[in-house]
Amino acid sequence: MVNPGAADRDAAGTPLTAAAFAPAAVAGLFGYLVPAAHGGAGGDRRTFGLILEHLGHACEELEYASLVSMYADIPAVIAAAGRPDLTDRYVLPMITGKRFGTMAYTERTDAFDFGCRVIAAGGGFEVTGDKVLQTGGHLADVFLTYVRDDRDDLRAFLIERGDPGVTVEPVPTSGFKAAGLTRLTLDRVSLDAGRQLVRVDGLSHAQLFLNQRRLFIACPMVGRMRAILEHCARYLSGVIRHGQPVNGFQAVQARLGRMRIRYETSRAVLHDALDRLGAGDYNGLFGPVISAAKYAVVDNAIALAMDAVHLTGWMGYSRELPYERYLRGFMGGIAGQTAQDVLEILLGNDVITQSEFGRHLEGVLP
Amino acid sequence: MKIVLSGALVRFADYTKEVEVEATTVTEGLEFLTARYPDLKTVLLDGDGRVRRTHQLFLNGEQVERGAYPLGAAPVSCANPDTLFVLTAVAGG
Repeated sequence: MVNPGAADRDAAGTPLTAAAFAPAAVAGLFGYLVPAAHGGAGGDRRTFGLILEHLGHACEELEYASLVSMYADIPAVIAAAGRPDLTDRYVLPMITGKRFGTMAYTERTDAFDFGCRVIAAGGGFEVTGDKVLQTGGHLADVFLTYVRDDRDDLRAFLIERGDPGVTVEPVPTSGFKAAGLTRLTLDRVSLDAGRQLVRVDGLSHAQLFLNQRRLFIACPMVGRMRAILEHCARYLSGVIRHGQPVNGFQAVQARLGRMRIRYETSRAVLHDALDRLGAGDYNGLFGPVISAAKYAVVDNAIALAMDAVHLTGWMGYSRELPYERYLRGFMGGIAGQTAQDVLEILLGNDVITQSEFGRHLEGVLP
Repeated sequence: MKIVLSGALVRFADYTKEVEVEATTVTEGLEFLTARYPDLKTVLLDGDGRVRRTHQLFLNGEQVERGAYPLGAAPVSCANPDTLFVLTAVAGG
């Protein structure tokens, strides 16, 4: 088992420590997505997704793989700027697990209305505002932060925890507690010009980043679904009702069958989407297949954990078994990496637009 | 030419989804559009006056390459009954 102690951390609401990620750094996971020219392994996102799926299976805690993916993606996106100063200051220490970074994007409003603002000041910049949710912010000392400028364009800055005016507070949640979710408050934070990562069209930069990350929330879920299925089958073989193990009853077999279907279909759509991601066969600005895969995996994972609770009764609802904790963890996927309801709208709009393309072509073609 | 807006953009055009514009190029069409709906300008264009990458343009169903439609760049011709689709999908974190 990778990183034991998940149940205790959940009960206490304690996030993962930096020490828990030392083996991931040694294994090269934080540099996996970073190009070799910047000190990384230059690995591909498909393979990394498969690694996350295995981590999800081996690790009792969804949060671990989720944070590994964030802490691996941030150095990669910084390295993409191609600036040696940023590679030395951020990328190389992140690869070795000496520094951690996360994304600070979300506010309680649409991106076009973001309240977090930047102004030019003293040859550099001054940033003020609130970012309401970051994954793994408890360990992050670098926040990739998107803010609006005086032209209402988004820019991206690398803001450090130690910068004067920066406050990082924990955000309590019902599940996914070890992920160390935080709120970032910026009070007239002064930044030198070198901290600017994206000068123009930060909205598109963020969208490209989010779209290629979306699958990574689903990868460990599929691994954990398999682990639940295996665990549940083992557990039920020891539960005796009417003088025989309950997995001898057809109703139980059918429920396990439904769980298997949820797992297999999730794995199939995930792997198809990962193949497309690896082949570059997706729209980086909004990938319908990738988005649909994330949606389907989250939905199936929640349903599978519910199945496990149904099968195991009060034991499954108690902390004697881990299913209620997994259920709360999977429910984080309702909101994370673009909310399920938002994905429905975006996918529906995509269908309508494709239909309008078709109607238009029918009207103009002979 | 007709410009068809989608997603979050519609709000900034007074919830008008389809707009008829007088234009012989895509650039002219976008200038006409943003002149009629000034709130749309900062949403559609980035700080350098280029269409943000997150808004994808399709002229009669064929994608207009990003290099071809920044304001002030070489024009892409259009005429009636051409339709310019502006696809916008803004996801959250």
